[in-house]
Amino acid sequence: MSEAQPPQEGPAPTAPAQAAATATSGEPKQPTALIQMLYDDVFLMLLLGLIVPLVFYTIWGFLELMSVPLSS
Amino acid sequence: MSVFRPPDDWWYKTPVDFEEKVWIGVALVWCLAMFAAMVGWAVWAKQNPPKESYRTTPKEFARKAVEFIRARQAKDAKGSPLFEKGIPVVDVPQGEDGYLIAKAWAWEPVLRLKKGQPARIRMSSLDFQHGFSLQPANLNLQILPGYEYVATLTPTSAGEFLILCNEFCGKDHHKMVGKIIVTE
Amino acid sequence: MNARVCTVTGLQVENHAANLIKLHAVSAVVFLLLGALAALGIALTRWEAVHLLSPDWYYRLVSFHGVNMLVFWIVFFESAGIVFASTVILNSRQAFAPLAYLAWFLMLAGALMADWVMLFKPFDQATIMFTAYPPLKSHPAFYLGVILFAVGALVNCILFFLNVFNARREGTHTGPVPLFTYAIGAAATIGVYALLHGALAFIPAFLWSMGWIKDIDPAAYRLTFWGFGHPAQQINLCAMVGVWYALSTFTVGALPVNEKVCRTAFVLYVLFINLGSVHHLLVDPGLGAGFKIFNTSYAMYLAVLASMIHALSIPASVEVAQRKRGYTKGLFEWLKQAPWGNPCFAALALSLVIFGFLGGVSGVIIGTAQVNLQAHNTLRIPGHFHTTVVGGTTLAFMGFTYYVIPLIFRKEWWSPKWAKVQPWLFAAGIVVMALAMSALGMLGYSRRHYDMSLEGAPFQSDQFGGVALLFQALVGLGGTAAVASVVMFALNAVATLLLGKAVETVPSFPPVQLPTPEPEGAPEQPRPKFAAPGVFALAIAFLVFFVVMYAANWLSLAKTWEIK
Repeated sequence: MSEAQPPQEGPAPTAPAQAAATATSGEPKQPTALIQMLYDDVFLMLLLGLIVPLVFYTIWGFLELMSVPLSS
Repeated sequence: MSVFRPPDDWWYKTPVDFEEKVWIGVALVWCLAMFAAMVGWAVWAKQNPPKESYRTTPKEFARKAVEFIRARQAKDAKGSPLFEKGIPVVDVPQGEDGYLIAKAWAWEPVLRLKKGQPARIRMSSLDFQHGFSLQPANLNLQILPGYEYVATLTPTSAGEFLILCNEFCGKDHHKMVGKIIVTE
Repeated sequence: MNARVCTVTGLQVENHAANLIKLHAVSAVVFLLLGALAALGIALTRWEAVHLLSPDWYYRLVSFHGVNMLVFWIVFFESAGIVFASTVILNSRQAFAPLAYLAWFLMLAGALMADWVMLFKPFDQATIMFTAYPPLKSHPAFYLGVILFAVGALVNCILFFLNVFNARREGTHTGPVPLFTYAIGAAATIGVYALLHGALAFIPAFLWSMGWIKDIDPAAYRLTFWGFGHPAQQINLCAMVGVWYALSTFTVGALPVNEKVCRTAFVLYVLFINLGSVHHLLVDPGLGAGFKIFNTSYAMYLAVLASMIHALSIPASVEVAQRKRGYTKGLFEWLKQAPWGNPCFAALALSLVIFGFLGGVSGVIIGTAQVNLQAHNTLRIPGHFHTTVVGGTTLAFMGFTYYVIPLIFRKEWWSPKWAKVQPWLFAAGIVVMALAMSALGMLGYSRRHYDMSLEGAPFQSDQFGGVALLFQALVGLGGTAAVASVVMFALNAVATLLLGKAVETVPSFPPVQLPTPEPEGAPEQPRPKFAAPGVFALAIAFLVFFVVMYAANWLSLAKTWEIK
């Protein structure tokens, strides 16, 4: 079992350096696949995550309940 | 590239391991098989959640149910109306709809069915939500006030079956027990 | 920004972020403890040889336990995670800090209000269960309390996205968010969906309890309530998976085997997992078969596929990390030599196995449209969800706390010995209890039921047999063990906060094993076809188990009365 040790990675880069590290480097920018946009963008995830179940569960469910006939 | 650092630039292009691909493929096949099983069961098998429902009111449902009980209450050997623990025992004739009332805290009437004979039972509640739990057959349905749920039941064996309530409905919820009798 | 640098990860810990994490984490443990004490009463009552409580107190505490565990404990903990993932992980600050503090306060006030009603108001006004199904009607302060809590929680979910937006605007973080934050983002997305439905259900219910509207349609309520209730548990699922990734990073230095695969799984969750709300409505009137079957399958089980992806990815990342460390003998040396003495690793492994084998499998089975006929409202339902939200999520969260307190509160654990035992005791108690509950449910036992001997009812039965009494005892004993372990956890945490030594540089317990950095700019070298053969073997075993259990349930259904 390992004892407490100083972090194995070097000290994390400070924020600006990290931003530079994650920004694409000098290589030509390739077109981002559509699905990758969803992976990169939590806001798109929020939007789709609200709309899809709202349609298939909530709205469809209400339509079902509203079409229950009266008892004879 | 750990879960606490942003992914490296090439993360989207990283090829998926053979092992992961196999597992995802196998899992996907299993998922589709389970979906197909449900669809197939709905089409061909004999146990499915009932599909027939109507809107009603407790007053209206009680009126029809009491009418049914009066018309179909069984008679004992001496010809007087048959009760079990004060609850009317009622036969469900072939081709006619039966009624089952759920109320805090009783199931009424005691229905009498025949083994192998389908019986359409219309169920509703007069007050709170209740849980129809037929034991030991272990079939469970949600019973709502304002909704009539029509289940076609075909008993597979004769005997006495209990109806427990398994939706909390107040302080005597655990004393809410009914019965269905199945004759040969 | 006012921050300190974490001595273990090097990340920036901004002051408001740290405060909020602490407020939410402490609140979480308080409500966990309250819910656990109620659980003791419940477990010792369903063990009818003991029958500890009166009927009124039993039902009252079932109500209290459900709300405090399924809502208060778990959402407070997740709120701490939401702050953490959108600030510390992004080296950024908490935006709109005053609003964030207000949100916490609303949650606390709402929880206390609802708890006050459930404990102290007359039985009929206090006891309507976590589900609060109309026409059961509670005192208005109950609905109001839950609404306040939900508003606070919703604000927190929105603040997650505002924090990410703000971090980008201020330049403290750019580009895609790390996987842990992505996981919590999925959780926050589901949180927004869930809480919006909670409002749709509870606001009319509150107005009705005040007499301002006349009737609530019970079916419409159920539809909207479960649009809140089930996704609320899927928030837990996403957060738990994120915590699993985090724990595997800290305990063995694991790295995700493939980011794209992991993120795909989260996307599938976000799109489809909320459809599972219909699980609670499968034997309800008013809804058609197509609606039930499509939704209960989470869109052809694509969300289940997502779970199965994580089920391989996370253990695989552990195995790969262990093999890199030299444990390459045979299929399982990596597992035997894993840091089992680290409570965080034990919690990770135990919760993975419990959630996967027991929780996931049982959930898919009882959520199958037709099998649900045999499961709905029986004790199998709580048997199932105690393996997921308790043996899975709660255990994983407790495991994570063993790191959170030293890293965020900067205190050394008061009793590492207790910490090492606690996850095992918890897991054992929960597994025994949940399996016994499921067995009883399969015999026909109802959930939320005071007396299965049916004393005082017009009819009784001996159908359940003597074996049911044995299972009742296991429910009582397993539950007691689990509660004891929660008390151990809470006491240890409180003692640590009050009496623990300050962390000097790096915490001495639990041990942390961070990933070795990959060389910059290098694409990974070709990996063997089976980088994690041990986990692959376990995954196949899991699948076989799943298939067998699943098939057995169809066979059982086919034997009972015909119904349509």
